[in-house]
Amino acid sequence: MSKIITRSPGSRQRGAFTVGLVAIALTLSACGNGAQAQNPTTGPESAAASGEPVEGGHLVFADVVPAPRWQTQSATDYRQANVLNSVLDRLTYYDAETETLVPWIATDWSPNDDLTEWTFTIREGVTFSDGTPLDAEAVARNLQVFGEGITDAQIQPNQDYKNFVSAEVTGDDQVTVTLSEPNANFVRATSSVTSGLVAPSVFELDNAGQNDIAQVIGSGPFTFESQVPDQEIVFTAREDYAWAPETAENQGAPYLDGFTLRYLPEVGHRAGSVSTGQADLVRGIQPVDEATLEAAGHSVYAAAGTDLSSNHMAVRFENEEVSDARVRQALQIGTNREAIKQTVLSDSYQLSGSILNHGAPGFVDLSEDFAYDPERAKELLDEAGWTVGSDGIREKDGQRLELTVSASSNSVVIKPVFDLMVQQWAELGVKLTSRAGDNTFFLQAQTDETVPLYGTRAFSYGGLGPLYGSGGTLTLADDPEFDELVDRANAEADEDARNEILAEQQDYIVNEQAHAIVLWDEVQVYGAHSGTHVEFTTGAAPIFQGAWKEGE
Amino acid sequence: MARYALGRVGQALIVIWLAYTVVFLSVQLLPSDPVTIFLSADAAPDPAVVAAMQAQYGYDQPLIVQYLGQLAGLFVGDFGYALSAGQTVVERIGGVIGSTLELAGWAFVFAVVLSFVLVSVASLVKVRWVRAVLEALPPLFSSVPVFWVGLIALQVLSFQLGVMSIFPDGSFLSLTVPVVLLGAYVSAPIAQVLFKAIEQTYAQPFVDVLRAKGASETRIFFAHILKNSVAPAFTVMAMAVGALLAGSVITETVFSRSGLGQIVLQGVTAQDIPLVQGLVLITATAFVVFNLIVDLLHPLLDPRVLKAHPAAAGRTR
Amino acid sequence: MALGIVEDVVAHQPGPTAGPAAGPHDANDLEPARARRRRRVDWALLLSGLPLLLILGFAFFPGVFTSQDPLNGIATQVMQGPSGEHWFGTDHLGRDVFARVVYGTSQTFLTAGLAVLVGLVVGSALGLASATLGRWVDPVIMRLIDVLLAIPSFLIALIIVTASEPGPISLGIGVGIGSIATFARLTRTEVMRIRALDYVEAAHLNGGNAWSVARRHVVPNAAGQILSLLVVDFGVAILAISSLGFLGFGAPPPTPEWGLIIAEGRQYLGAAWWMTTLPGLVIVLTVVLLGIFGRCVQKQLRF
Repeated sequence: MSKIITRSPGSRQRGAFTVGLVAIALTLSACGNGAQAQNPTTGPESAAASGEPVEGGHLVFADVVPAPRWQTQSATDYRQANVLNSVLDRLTYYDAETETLVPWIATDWSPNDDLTEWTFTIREGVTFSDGTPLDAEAVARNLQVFGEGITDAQIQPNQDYKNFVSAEVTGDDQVTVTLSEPNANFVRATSSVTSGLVAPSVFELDNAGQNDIAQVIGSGPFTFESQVPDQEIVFTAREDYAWAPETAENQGAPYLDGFTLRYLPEVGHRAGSVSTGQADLVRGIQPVDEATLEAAGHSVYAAAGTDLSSNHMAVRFENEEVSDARVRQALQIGTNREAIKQTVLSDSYQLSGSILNHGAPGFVDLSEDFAYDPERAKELLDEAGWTVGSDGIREKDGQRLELTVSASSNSVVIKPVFDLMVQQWAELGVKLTSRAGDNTFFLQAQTDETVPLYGTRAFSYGGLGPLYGSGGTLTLADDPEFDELVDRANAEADEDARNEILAEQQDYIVNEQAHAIVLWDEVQVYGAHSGTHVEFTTGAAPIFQGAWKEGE
Repeated sequence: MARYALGRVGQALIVIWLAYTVVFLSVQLLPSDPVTIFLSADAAPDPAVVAAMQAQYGYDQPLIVQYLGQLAGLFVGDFGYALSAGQTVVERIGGVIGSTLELAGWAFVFAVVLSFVLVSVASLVKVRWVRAVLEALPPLFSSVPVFWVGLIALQVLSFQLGVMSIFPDGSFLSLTVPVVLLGAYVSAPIAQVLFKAIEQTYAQPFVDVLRAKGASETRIFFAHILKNSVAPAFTVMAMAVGALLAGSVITETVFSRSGLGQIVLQGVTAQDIPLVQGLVLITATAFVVFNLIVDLLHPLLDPRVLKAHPAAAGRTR
Repeated sequence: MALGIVEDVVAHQPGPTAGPAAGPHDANDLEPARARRRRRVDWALLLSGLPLLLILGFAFFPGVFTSQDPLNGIATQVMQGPSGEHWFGTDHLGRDVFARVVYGTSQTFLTAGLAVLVGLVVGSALGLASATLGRWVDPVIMRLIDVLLAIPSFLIALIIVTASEPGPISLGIGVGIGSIATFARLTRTEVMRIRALDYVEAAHLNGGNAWSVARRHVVPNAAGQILSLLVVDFGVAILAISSLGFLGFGAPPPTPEWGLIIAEGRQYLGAAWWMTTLPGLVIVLTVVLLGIFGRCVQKQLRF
C-alpha cells in the first residue's frame, strides 16, 4: 500500500483500465476497507534524513488554487507569495531564528534622524534572469512603483508604502526613499513578497503583461519555464544564483533542478497525494490527516505565518448590531478557543494571544484578558440592551442579533472553526451565519462594509495601521483614535518605546474595542513526502532555494 | 430545401444573439462590479484607480453603450478583455478550450458508443433479466451525482490502488476516468430515447413481414430496426451539448483539469462580464450548430419528416 | 439539467405511433400484454412509492426517524464510523450524519419543489400558449425556448444564486429556470397531439368553445405526461442543487441540506468515508426511485 504510483502510466494501460472499471464497480466496498488500510505504520524513517543536501531532482509542489495574477503588488495572497518568494528577490529578509531583518539585495540600510528618509546600499553583481543588472537604478524604479503604482497599467500603490514621496539614486550603489511622515517600521515593508524586485522592463508592460508569470523577470533562484493554464507551472533553477539572504544556509544556486507548481483544490486529496508521492510538498493539510501522514513516515510542517496577523474575525463596527463595544467584547470572551482546538484543530495550531502572532515583533500576550467566560459574555450582552427573545436569539428594539461572517475557502480549518462557533455563539443568544468558503461572497465582503464579520489573516508588514486604521482593509471604517497610536509608533525611533505603543495597539484592538475576535496564530500546514526537505519563511512560504530531495 | 435551410440558419443566428443579450442583462444583476473586485484583491481600492480602470475598460459607460460596443466588437473579432485573468477573452478561453474539447469530445463519443452497445445487446439478447438490467442502466447513470462518484473514484484509484494520477498528467487513466464518468452521465438520455424508439419500431407491421420472410433477428435489428430508430437519438445527442458543458464544469473541478469549467466559475465569481459573455457565445453557438446539423440531416434520416411537415420540419415541430 | 428527461422528444415523433402498445416481441397479443403490464407496473409503483413515502416522511416528521440533534455536535464523538447509535457515523463536529440527512430532507425537497414549480408553471404556460394561440405566437415562443436551451442552465443557476443570497429560494428559482424549456416543449407537444385526436376534434365541431374543450379534454389528458415529468424532474433538481452545493454555491451552513452535507463531508473522504458516501447514496436512491416512480405514473395515466 505504501509503494503506490509513479510508475509510467503508458506501460500498463490495459491492466490499469480493467482495474479501473472493477474499482469503480466496487467503489463502496473498497472505500470501506481502504480507510483503515491507508495508514500503514511503517514507522518514521530517520536514517536518511540527517544527510547532506542532495543536488538535483525536481520537486512537485501542490498549492491550493491557481493564482490569476502575478504582478508583484498582487502577492498579498499565499498563492502568489509562495511562488514569487522563489522567483523574486527582495531588499531585506526577515530571519525567523534571530527575529531580525537581515541583508539580501540591500547590504545595508539606515534612516535619517527623523525617520523620513531611508537609504539602502545595493549589493553588487546581481543580475535579473534576462541578464540586465539589478542595480541602484532598478531598485529605485521598483520602489517608485511600490510607492506610487502605475496608473496607466492600473497598478495600485503597495499599501505598506504609505506617505511615500520619492525613491532616488543617491550614490553609485545607494537608493534613498523619502517619506512625508516618519516611519520607523518602513524597512520592514521591503522584506515582504509584495516588495519583490522585477526588471524595470516589466513595468513597461500593460496590466496583463505584468500579471503574466511568463513575462515576470526577477533575480530570484528560479525562473519560469512553461505552463498549462490552471493546471501547472514549471520553474527551472538559475545556475548562477549567488545572492541568497545573509542567513540562508545555501548561499549558491538551488539544490533542485526545478520545481513544478500544481493545484489541489480538493482538501480531501492532499494527504493522499503526499503519501503516494504524487506531490513532494502540499500546502493545506487538514488536522485529521496530520497524524496519519506522520505515522506513515512523511513529514508534516507547521509553517508559522509570523508576518501575518493572527486568524481572526474583523468586526465592521459601524454596523448597528456590533456598534456597542460590549457586544464585541462579549463575542471575544464568549468564544471557547480551547474547545475549537480540541474539536477541529491540532497541535500544529497555537491559540491566539493577541492580534499579532506569538513570534511577531512587539507581541504581547493578552490571552488572560479574553479567557472564555460565557457568563460574563451574557451579562455584557444584557448590559448592552440585547435581551433573549422567544426563540433564544437576542433582540433589541425589534432587531435580532444575527451576524454573518465571510471567509475565503483557501484555509482548511476556517470553515470547520466557524461552523463550531455557530454552535458556541448560539449559546450566548447570537445567531451566526457562516458563509466561509463562499468565494463570491468573500470577494464582495472585502469591500462591502455591511457584512459585519470578516474572517481573515492578513500580511502586516506595514504594521497594524493599514489593517485597522482609517482606510484600512479589514474594518473598512475610520478610527482616528487608532490612527494616533499608529502615528506615534511610526515616529518612535527607540525599539522598546515603540514596542510599548505596539502593546497599546494590540490592547486597543483586542480588549478595549474588540475590533477583532482573535482565534489562532497563523500557520500553514504542509505535508512533505518522506525524503523531501523544505524550510519556510516567516510568511509561511516554502524556500525552494534551500530545498532538496533524497536520492532514490 | 435550400430555403428551409436558410431559414433555419437565420433562426439560429437570432437564438445566439438573444442568448448573448439575455446573459448580458442577467450578469448586470450581480452585486458588485468587475473592476472593484479586481482591485480589492490587492488592497483597499483607490477610488482614482477604480475610476481610471472603469474608464479604460468602458465600465463607466451607460449599459446600452457597453452592450452595443461589445456587440460591435464581435463583428471585428474583439471579444473583450477578461479582467480577472489579465488576458483577452480569446486568449483566456483559447488557452484552455482544448482541454474541455478533449474531455467533452471523448465523453460524447463514449456516450454514443455506450448507448448503441447497450441498446443493441439488450435487443438481441433473449434473456429477460439481462434485458431488464441493461434497460435499467441509463436511468441509474442519470441519477448519480458525477462529482460524488468522481471523488470516490479518485480516492480509490489514486490513493488506495495507486493506479491513477491525482493530477491530469496526460496519462491514459487520468483522461479515461473522467471521460467514462461524464460519458455515462450523458449517455443516459440517448440510450433511453433509443430504447423507446426501437420498441416503437419493433411494433410496426413491416417487422412481421421481415420475420415471415425468414430474416434473422440480427439482420432485422441492424439493417432495419436501428436504421429506422436513430432519428430521435440524434435529436437528443444535439441537446446533450448543454449537459456536456455543465458536466464538464463539475468533472473538471473534481479532476483538477484546466478547461471551460474553471472559466465559468472564475467568470461568475469575479463577475467578469466579457468572460461570461464569451463563454455563452461558445456554448450557444455549439448548441445551435449541433441542432442545426440534426435538423438539416433529419429529412435525410427520416423521410417522413419532410412529407409530414414540408414547410419547416425539424426539432421544434 | 434538462438531461434525463426525454419523453417529449419521442412523443412527438411523426409517423405511426405505437402508442401504449407492448414490447417488441409480443406485438401480436395486445390484450394479455396490457394486462400483464398493468400488474408489473403496480409492483414497480409500490416498490418505488413506499420508500419515497418514507423519505417524504423525513421531510415532514424528522423527529420520528431520529432522536439525534442535526445541528449541535457532541465534541467527544467526532468522526466516528457508522454504528448502531450513529447509522451514518458522525461528522467533524460530532454531529450525527443520519440525523442531518433526515433533517436536511425538508430543505432539499423544498428547494427542489420550488425548482419544479417554476419549471412547471412557466413552462406549461408557455407550452400551452404556444400550442393554442395564434400563428405568430408559436414560433416566437419556440425561439425563446431555444434561447433557454442554448444558455447552459447551469450558468443561469450560478448567476441567479450569486446575484442573490444563496438559499432555498434563489437555488430553487435558479435551477427551475433550467427546466422551463423541457416543460414547455412537453406541454406543447401533448396539447397538439391531444387536440388532433378524433374525439377532441368532434367536441370542437359539436360547438364546444376552446376553453371548455381544453378544460374537459386537453388538460386531463396531458396531465399524465406532465405529472410524470414532474416527478422525474424533481430528482433532476435534487442532483442540480447538490452539484451547485459541491461547487460552493449552496445554502450556507448549518442548514443541513443534502448537497451541503455531501460538500462538507468530501473534505474528509480519506479519513471518514461515511460522511460523503452514505448521504450520496441517499441522493442516488431517491433520484432512482423518483425516476422509476415517474415512469410508472406515466404508464398508468396514459390513455
